[in-house]
Amino acid sequence: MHIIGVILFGRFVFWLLMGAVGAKGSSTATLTQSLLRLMVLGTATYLWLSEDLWLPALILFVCWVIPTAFARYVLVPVGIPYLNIIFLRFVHFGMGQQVGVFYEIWARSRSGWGLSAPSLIMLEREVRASMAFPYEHDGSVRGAAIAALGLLEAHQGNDESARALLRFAMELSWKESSLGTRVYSQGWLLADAWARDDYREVMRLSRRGPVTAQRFFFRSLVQRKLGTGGRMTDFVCRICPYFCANPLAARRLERAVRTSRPLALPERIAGDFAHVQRVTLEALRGKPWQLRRAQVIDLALAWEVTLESGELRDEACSMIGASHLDHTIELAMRSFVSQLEERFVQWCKACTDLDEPIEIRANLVRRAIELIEQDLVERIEVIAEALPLNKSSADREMTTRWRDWATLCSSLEELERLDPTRAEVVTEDVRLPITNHAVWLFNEHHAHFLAGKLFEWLLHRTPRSHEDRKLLAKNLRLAQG
Amino acid sequence: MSPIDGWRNPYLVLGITPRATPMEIERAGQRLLGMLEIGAASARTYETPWGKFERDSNDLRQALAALRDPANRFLCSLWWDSSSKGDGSLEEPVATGETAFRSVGWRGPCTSSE
Repeated sequence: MHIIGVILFGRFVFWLLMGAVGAKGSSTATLTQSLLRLMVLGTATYLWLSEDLWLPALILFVCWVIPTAFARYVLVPVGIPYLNIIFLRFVHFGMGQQVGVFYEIWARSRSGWGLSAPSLIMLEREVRASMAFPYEHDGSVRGAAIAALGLLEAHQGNDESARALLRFAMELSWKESSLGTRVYSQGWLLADAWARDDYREVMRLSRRGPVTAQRFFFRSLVQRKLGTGGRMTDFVCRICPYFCANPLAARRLERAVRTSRPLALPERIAGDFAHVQRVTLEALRGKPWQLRRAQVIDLALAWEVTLESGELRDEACSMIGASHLDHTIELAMRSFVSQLEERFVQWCKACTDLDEPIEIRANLVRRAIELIEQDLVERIEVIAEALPLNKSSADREMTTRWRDWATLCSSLEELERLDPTRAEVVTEDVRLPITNHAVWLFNEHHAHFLAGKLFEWLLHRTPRSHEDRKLLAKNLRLAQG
Repeated sequence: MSPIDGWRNPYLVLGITPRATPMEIERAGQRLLGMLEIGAASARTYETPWGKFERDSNDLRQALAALRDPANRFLCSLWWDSSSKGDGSLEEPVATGETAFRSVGWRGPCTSSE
């Protein structure tokens, strides 16, 4: 019994140590945690083998060696409300609200129990209260808190906000966000992208975050649906459902996707107006993702030939009843080209292989990509300009800060994929507001964790010869303590 | 009302073809408005290649206004789809959005395209 007392005391000391030293996910804390776990494991093994006390050994092992794994694989599937939060707060000596609330929401989201508005408000209050305790700054905030807030936003129907927060939680390192947090965030994001038919996003997500079966599953599902996968894809599709959180649902999904039909367009699109129009209408009858990039490019080239031939202008003249030189004809033609561009933007956005580096000859597609980039740049500039820099514009709501940063980050990364050169220029433009915002977060808000993320991101994108590099590195060291 | 949103093409909303003269367009619009006024069920929906859609007097007035302008009429005719109606070719055999969320252990509200 003395040994158990020592272990419990040691564990308690560890949690204090985590708060004082390791809240920023330092290697000291990780090492301490690993050593203590080893000690508990040793004690549990001793109790079991030498004293034949298998029950205390099992309790020690479950509660203090694998508490989150136990919650994830046993308590979450059970889905009884409050079970996770009570267990995780017990093993963390009254602390661990963030991880407790996260697993609690996970369990409730899985079973569908206890999802009434008052229950969700209570959980949100709990996770928000945990962020300020026991420290003033955000050093105690980890991926579990961010993911918990993201899931709560999703329950309230704020999908944009949920996406940004869960992406943030998923992208954190293993020191800052536990495996369970990152896995569930990734799963939600993959399912959400799939449900929105955003297969480009599914493919992108399947290359990031923890290496899981669900990641390969959704990737192979997209490949199967688009008809780009081979026999290996089919094999992965059949195997991976058994490793997903809900194998029955995953298997049902796999069976449903098998019957999808690709959009069949003619191999060659002739340059005459009637044919090009017919093929375009055929393409419009399908969903944007049903078109391959090669088909989009072929269609764009065919439209360019048609527009240059003047056939469409003749058609406009006869229908509107005006001469070629009439201003109305010119306006109608411009409107049509802009509507055509709008459609190509939608097709390009849905192309899973849009950011593959090949030269695109079709001007319409190039213009569509330019419009997508322009939209991204505008979004980046709007968010960057709105980043608070002083107390007067202070919004003390940290959720907004994380959400804005996650949105800004993902928009810039999307731009990097489409046009790295333009992304460099835009990053240079927003460097100052981001740096000032990070400094403000650090100085005024004591939000060292988020400020560190901003400095880290900027440092990663700053050339070695850049004058700000030393300052950024210094700021990053300060933020990381 | 943008003609690029295939199913909202004014020609489809009014149930006519681009060959219709301005007078025929007006007549078709007024007839449907009259039918809606007396609550005729057949006037409340219209067929498109993407399936059946609902229309109200506001949609009809917008469609009429769009087709009164010759340039707009020309643009709408370019995006008018005359293929077989209501074949439901866009529909997936099984709705998969909710199942995808279930597969990762989520039963909450989901943004699904279905």
